[in-house]
Amino acid sequence: MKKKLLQKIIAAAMVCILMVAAVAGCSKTETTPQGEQGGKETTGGKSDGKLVIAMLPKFKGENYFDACKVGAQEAADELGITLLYDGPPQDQATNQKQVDILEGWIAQKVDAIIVSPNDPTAIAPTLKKAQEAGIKVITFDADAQKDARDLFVNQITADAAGKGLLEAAARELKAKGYGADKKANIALVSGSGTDANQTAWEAAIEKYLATDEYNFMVIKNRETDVYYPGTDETKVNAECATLISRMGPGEDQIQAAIGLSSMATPALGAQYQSASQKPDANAITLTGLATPNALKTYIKDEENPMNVGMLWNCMDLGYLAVQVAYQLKNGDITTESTSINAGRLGTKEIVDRECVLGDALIFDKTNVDNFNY
Amino acid sequence: MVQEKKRTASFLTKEFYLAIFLLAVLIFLWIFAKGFYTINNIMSILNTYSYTLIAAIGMNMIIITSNIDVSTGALVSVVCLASAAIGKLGLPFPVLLPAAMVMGIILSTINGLFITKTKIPAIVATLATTQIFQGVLPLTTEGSIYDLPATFTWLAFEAKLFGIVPASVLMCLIITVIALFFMKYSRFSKKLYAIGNNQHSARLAGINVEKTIVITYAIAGALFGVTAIIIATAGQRVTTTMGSGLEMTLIASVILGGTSTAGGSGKVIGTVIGALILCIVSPAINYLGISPNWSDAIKGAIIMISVVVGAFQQVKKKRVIQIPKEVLNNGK
Repeated sequence: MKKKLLQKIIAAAMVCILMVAAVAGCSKTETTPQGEQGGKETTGGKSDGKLVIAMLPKFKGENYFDACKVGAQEAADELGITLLYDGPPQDQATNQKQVDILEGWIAQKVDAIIVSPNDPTAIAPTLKKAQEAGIKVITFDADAQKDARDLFVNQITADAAGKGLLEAAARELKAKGYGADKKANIALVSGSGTDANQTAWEAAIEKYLATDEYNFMVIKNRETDVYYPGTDETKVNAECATLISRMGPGEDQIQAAIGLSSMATPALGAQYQSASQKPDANAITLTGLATPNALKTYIKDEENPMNVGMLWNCMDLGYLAVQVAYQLKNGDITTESTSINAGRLGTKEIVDRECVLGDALIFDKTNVDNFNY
Repeated sequence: MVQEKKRTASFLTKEFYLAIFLLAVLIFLWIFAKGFYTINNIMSILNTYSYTLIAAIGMNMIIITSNIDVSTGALVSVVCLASAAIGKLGLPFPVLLPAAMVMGIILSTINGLFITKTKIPAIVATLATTQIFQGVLPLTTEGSIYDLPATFTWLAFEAKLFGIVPASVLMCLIITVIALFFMKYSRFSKKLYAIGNNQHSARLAGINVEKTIVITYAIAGALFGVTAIIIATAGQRVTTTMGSGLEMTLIASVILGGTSTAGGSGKVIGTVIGALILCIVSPAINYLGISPNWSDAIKGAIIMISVVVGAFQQVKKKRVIQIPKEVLNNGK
């Protein structure tokens, strides 16, 4: 009897120690400036009568979505509304986690939800439920099933993204002597394989690869040359390392690697950097989609074959998404509108319930320092 | 006669068969996977292998004591993030490495104490700490620390032995050699096997079981710390997912290497081979022209075959050898 009690006490003590350790851990690693604004916003209710707009990224804590959030906050301050921002942690970037957060917001009766879904179809029922509750549903960054949202704020059309990525690779490859009479093998590093964006970009890339302008680049074997490492950082790194070791000037080697996710592209740069025998930088090229900050070092490094990166203005994307959500709720625009006056961004067109932010942002060593995300 | 038969059988161990299998795979790749044996690819595999093996050696010790640790992935992620936080200050690798090891020891010791003090089965206890570690991560940072300085990525980008071999491989080599001797000759390792075989009789034999288990977790924690720092310094960005799923690779390497999950048996050399086999799978199938998405399924199949074969051997062994010692002694 006594012994059992003792055990219980020890168990309780252990739990306490763990909690203290956890709290201690908190203060120790608190470094990202976003941390302070991050957590607490969800508690802000509608008490002060302000409009509440909730934003759900695919996952939290990556510079891409951090930048979106900065823009969104800017718009929220401008419009005098409350912005809730929450998302799954990066290692749990699943539909289920997103649904859990959405359910909470639906219960709170927020006014509008802005979401970047991890899975366009699986999230649809929850989004429809939100719509039935009178909540305006906007998708940004990645679309959901069309009937499950009111408007989609698209950063870039898939067509323009696919073309932009290929153009970035083509320019570099041509400078290195490839062309119509010297074909180049390319490889893609995608994400999870279910992501709506990446699927659409891949399709656009395939389409442009068939045109005369880009047909000197070929994906030799779709099975092995298109990677789907998911969102697990270590796995992305490992598969990029394998890809780098397959690169070189030879016909059975790969000459250009294009990263389609903001994790894959920096991983390509890093793995080239850490390769023991670096493939000849004059024969290969690395490029892809990522935030300027993530690629800065590699782009500025003369010996790294990564010279350009592509993205869109993330802050503007977050800003536009909040503007669209606000004006839709207020009745300034409807789903039938053909344009929106989006504050500092000026007028943006809305076509087929899609509001497109603009063109690709291609950055190289001359302007990479101008961006702070 | 009997003696001789025993001797021929003694090298036909599970590790031996595993080594043969590995050799066969390597020869197969040499013939069919063009470009597999380029220095670059070998080194990148060795780098992955290094951090897997270092942690797997720690896991091997834990499993030998008939415990387990499923929190390793989360633990490594925590250490990665914390290392990145201090690495951001521009501290050099000689500071980061011990710091990571100390953090690993602290977290893993919590596991060990939790298990021994509360008598909760290791899998349940570490499952709980997994949740705690994972739960702490999103609280501490919004997910990732990026734009880390060159001092942080020094190990991956700069540190190369003779300009070719990554320094992580050297670290792995040193740790492996020490582990091989330690687990064979040290008195401490004998205690581990004793506890794994039968905790109760180990206690009767005068072994402080609780203390030994906590120390085992602490040692393993130091090794997890080393692994964490190698993983963390691979690039300029450290996220909360750095160690995700690592524990399964480690447990798989250990089991493939012939260590019984029941505890009490298993050698370091088995883990050395087991980890190598698992680390080769993913790049190998990519070079063979198969989609990398198959790698997990293939790894699973290899483990399954190994476990089934092991189970059969176990049955056979038991039938032949298990004669009570008293009977043998009386016979003499």
